[in-house]
Amino acid sequence: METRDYWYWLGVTEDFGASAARRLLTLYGSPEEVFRQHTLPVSGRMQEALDESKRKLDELLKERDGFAAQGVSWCCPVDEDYPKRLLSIPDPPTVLFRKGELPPEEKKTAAVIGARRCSFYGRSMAERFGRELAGAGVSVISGMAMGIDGYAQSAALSAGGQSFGILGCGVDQAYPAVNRPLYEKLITQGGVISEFKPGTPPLAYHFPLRNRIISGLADVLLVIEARAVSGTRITVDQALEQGRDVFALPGRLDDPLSEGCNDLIRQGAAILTGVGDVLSLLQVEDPSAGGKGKRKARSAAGLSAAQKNVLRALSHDPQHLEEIMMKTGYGLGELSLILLSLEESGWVRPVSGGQYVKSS
Amino acid sequence: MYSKINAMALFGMDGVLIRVECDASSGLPEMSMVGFLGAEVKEARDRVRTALKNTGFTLPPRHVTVNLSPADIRKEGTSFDLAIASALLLSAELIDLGRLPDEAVFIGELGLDGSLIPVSGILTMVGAAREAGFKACVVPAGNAAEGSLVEGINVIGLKNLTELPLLAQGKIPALPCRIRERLAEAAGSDEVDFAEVNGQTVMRRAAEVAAAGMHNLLFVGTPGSGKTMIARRIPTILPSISLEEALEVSKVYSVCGLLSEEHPLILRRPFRSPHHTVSPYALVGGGSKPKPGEISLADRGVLFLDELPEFQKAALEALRQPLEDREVHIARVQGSFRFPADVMLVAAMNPCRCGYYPDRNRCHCSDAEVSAYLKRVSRPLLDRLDLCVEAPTLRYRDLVHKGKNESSAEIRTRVERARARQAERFAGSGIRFNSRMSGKEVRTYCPLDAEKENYLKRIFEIKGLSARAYHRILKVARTIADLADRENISLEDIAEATGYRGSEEKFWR
Repeated sequence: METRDYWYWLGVTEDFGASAARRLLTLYGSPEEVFRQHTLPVSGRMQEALDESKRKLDELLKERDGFAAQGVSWCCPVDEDYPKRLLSIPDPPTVLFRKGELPPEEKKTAAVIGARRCSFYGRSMAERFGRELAGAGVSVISGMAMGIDGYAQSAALSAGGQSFGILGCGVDQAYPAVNRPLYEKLITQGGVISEFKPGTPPLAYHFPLRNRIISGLADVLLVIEARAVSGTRITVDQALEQGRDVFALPGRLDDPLSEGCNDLIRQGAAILTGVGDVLSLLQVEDPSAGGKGKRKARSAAGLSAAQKNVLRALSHDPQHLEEIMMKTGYGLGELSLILLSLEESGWVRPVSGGQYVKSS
Repeated sequence: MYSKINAMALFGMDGVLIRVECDASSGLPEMSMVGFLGAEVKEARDRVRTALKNTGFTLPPRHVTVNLSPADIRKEGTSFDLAIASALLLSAELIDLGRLPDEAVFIGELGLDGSLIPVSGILTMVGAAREAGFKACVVPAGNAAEGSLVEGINVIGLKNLTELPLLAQGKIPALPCRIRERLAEAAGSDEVDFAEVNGQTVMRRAAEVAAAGMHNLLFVGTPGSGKTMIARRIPTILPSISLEEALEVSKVYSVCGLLSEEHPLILRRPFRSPHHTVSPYALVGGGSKPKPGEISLADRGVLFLDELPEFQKAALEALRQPLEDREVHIARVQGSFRFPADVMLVAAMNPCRCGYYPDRNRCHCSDAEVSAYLKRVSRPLLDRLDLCVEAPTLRYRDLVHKGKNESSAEIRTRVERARARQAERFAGSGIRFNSRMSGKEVRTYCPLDAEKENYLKRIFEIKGLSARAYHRILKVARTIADLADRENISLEDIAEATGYRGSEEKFWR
């Protein structure tokens, strides 16, 4: 057996997490030594699990060799390709599976995270930061979840950037199922990564664990929208533990979806006011700096007076046709015509039925 | 002696002429009844005999045979009692009805004291009697007002069997037909009015467009946004009900026994709002002896389904055929029944379980829950709803709004003008409303020039609309142009019509 096999054995043993593995490794020095011990200073259940996986070692290794055929590769901390960023966190995953690539070391990375049930404002901000980070050549790390995660990653991929999804299940599954298109795209334009063996179902306790990898792989963490008590907060806590910088998007006081973000700011997180804040921290050149304002002004100049009127009445919060009619004084037919033309040129987006938001 | 009295049976929405024959001959005193009788008709033997005894008639002890012919139709209901009693009395030569046995139809149920009890379906049966060429109808007094709505036939109401001998002497007058007066009295006296609705310009507009072209309509919105309030007022902006329509609608109510002596005629366009627990049969009609359902009771008016996704799936799917054919067909061993179902369907629903989607600060439904809720309404049914609008949440200033809102009468004037344009356009083509146009007719009546064709094509690309949406957008655009009294569809009409579709395409992705 090679060193890597011992790492693998330690990594895939069930009921045996990375922090327990880390403790044994500091005690014994290497997984090989751990393997040789008959009894370990662990709980009875963990001891049983270790004994069980020792007995099944052959099966485990055989199963592992089959993963390559599914397009799944793996690495462990002694490997050349194991992400250096993870080596510096308190409990790096003992084994890391992936489909696609791992984040390149030389490129900066930023995690964009937030609520699954996000607002339309949150969505458009997630998309904006995903797109702009990708435009600056920063890899976007997130959890491929519904809501902020997925929107940010989709936008980054659409902008031609790289993005990496960290899963709470095996990398052979697209969870949640609605994000399958995103999953497929991540594999070709980045990667999906997990410390769980292929075939592992998405169990609830996996998600807080995978959150430490999200923050661990990221140089900086962007929190778009979070409720007061949420999974996002777990990621932030771990990011702080790992010494990562945290940005939070400020929100209104009465907005439950911004409570988490505002609270982070109160505790000292950096205020996110634009992608420039993040890029200057990462010391990445902002490609849109200087040119951005001008470009927007130019395209807005092409709009008719009526289109501008309507645009002025809109915001990032969904507004019903009725409100827009009230603000602008247009009749329904006329307004529909203007909104359609704005929708065509990408200035507004309909959400649900008769409600519209400005798209950023 | 042999006697014969004409009676009427109700089969679905039709009256069928039944001859009640009676023969009294020598033999053991007995009364037998034949002619494929249902249980309640068989029981008529005891009812009639006791009623006759209690009203002072003494039947001689003879062998009596009563036959209800034609004998191959199953007779059900209690409307034969009066005819059987009259036939018995005639054959016993206890009364003289003069020419009435040939010229009149006898309808009514008897109580044991000889009183006449109202039956359902009088309007239909009297109508059928007139069609068959009869000059008079004898009905229970409680039904006389309803029966007298039929023009061209004398309707005589009887309170008690004792009045029967007076009939032939012409001592009981027929009720005058007052249908036109009643209708004129009722015109414009709706209980609700659009003037009571504050704000909600988009929903009001959608209701107006839907009413003008008889388009089916769907409101999606948060609880308390006024969906039901607006739906209730849609009948008030439809053109006033005509005499023929009022009679046809009243017939359905008559068959269901929903007309009373005080209100023998349906004077306004119906508004039916069945609860969402309604069974498929109660909704579209059915039963072993088929009765009209809610959709037929809403004929020529509005069928309102509040909380659409909460309805049983089977009930909603059963609506599909009647909405297409404007009629309900029910096949039974006895024959096939048809009930009218020319309705405007108005449905209302919440966008999700809690009702607040897409306001994420209030709605905590997951995306999967939202889409599961919406999926309870099937695509084929949605395809039959031409307009879909989202109701905005009402603000306080709308609720306390003091200004004058447009009244139903003002809106109705525009609707009637749009209807007139449609009537002119479709004269002789067999359809009456824009919503009833087929694909071929859409091409004929909604011509688009290159600019508009191109515009519509662009809309389809932006919105990702399906081919099905094409015809519906054009039909609605046609109605919007008609409302504005425009010959040709404009770009604005198309844009507005797309707005009514757009929301639906978005909700049901």
